[in-house]
Amino acid sequence: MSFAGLFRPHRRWRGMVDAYADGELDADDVRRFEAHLGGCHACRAQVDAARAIRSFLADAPVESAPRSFRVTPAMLQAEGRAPAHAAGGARGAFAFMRASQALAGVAVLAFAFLVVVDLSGSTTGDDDDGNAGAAMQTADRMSAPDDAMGASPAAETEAVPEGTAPPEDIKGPSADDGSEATLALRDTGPPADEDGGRSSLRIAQLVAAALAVLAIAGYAVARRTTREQRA
Amino acid sequence: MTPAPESTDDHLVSLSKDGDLDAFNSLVDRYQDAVYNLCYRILGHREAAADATQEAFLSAYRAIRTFAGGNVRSWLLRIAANQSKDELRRRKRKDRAGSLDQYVDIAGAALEVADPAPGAAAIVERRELSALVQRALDALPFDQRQAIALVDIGGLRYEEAAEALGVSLGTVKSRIHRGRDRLRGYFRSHPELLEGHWRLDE
Repeated sequence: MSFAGLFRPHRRWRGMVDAYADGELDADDVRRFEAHLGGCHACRAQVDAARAIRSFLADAPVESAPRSFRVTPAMLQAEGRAPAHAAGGARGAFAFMRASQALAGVAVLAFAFLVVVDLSGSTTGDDDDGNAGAAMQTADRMSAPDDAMGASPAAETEAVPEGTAPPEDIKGPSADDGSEATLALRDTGPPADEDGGRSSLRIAQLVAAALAVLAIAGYAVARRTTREQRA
Repeated sequence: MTPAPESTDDHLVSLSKDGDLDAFNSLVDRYQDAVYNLCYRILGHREAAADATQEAFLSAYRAIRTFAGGNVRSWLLRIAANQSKDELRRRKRKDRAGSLDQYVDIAGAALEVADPAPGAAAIVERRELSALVQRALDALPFDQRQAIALVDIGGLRYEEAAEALGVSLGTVKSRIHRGRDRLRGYFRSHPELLEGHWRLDE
């Protein structure tokens, strides 16, 4: 046993056991390993075990094919028409992933743009007469049901997203029953285009936000699918 | 049906490259047992192994022009090992939709077989022995099982296995080493299986 061998961690030899038993070591390593084997009972036992396992597996009965696996023209045509489903699926999923990425980006940008438009619109609206302000509140209550849901009328009147304070006199009657006041205001017909503009702006914002959420969700699913399909 | 003397592997391969499907199917006849056996040892599931085998031959035919010569059997087994992993993935994906228990054995858990064999000398049934082999292999994680099946059952060299699986030589060495370590532990609890060497009584 070589002097240097005393200082080599034994794990190194253990790692060579299987390669040695399988005839996969190069000549130099074979010489070194056999020199080590000369003095190491444990490794000799490991080599014997490796050889026994290999024989056990190599001599295992061969499971015969249960049927013929000949390739038919029909099989080849099926493969040709619809690309191997793994590849096709991956292609489809990648395309969907890219598309949903793009859609998510666009939708988020659109939403941000609409919010900016809304904000700049509401600042000018504050300078106008009360009708515009009322129209804004109306639109708030109509198009932002989630804000209004469960909120007390008093809280509702404070929860104006844009943070501009609505005129007090309009608020009074609506404090008791927001929806009726809303209808009343509609009947009196605030400037139709401004009101309609506010509503459609809200709706557009909601649509953009919903699209963004859906696109992001779709992207996440597609990403997961494509990751699995990668080799 | 014994193949004609001129139907050597190389001859059949060159005919296949020219689009002779019959010639290719002669290769299928010749090697389908070896391919199916490897797929079965890797997957531990007969139906999955059959699917993987068919895909392997389809894949081989489509790729026959890229075959640069050498051992046809090794080449087919390399394709089979990869198709086995693909088949496992396909089935796992389908599982998300529903039933799954049948694939527990694919994941590497031990197969349910009859009671452990009484002892080496008493084992005469080929089928029991085969089940024992599979049970031992199923004790391994997939990557180790796949590597050991390729090398010990398929007879491939480490380098061929590394090339087949698209991993480094070091990775193959490591998988073989760890897989054999696990099998050593498995056999320690079933010492009768490795007494001397296997011998089937007549």
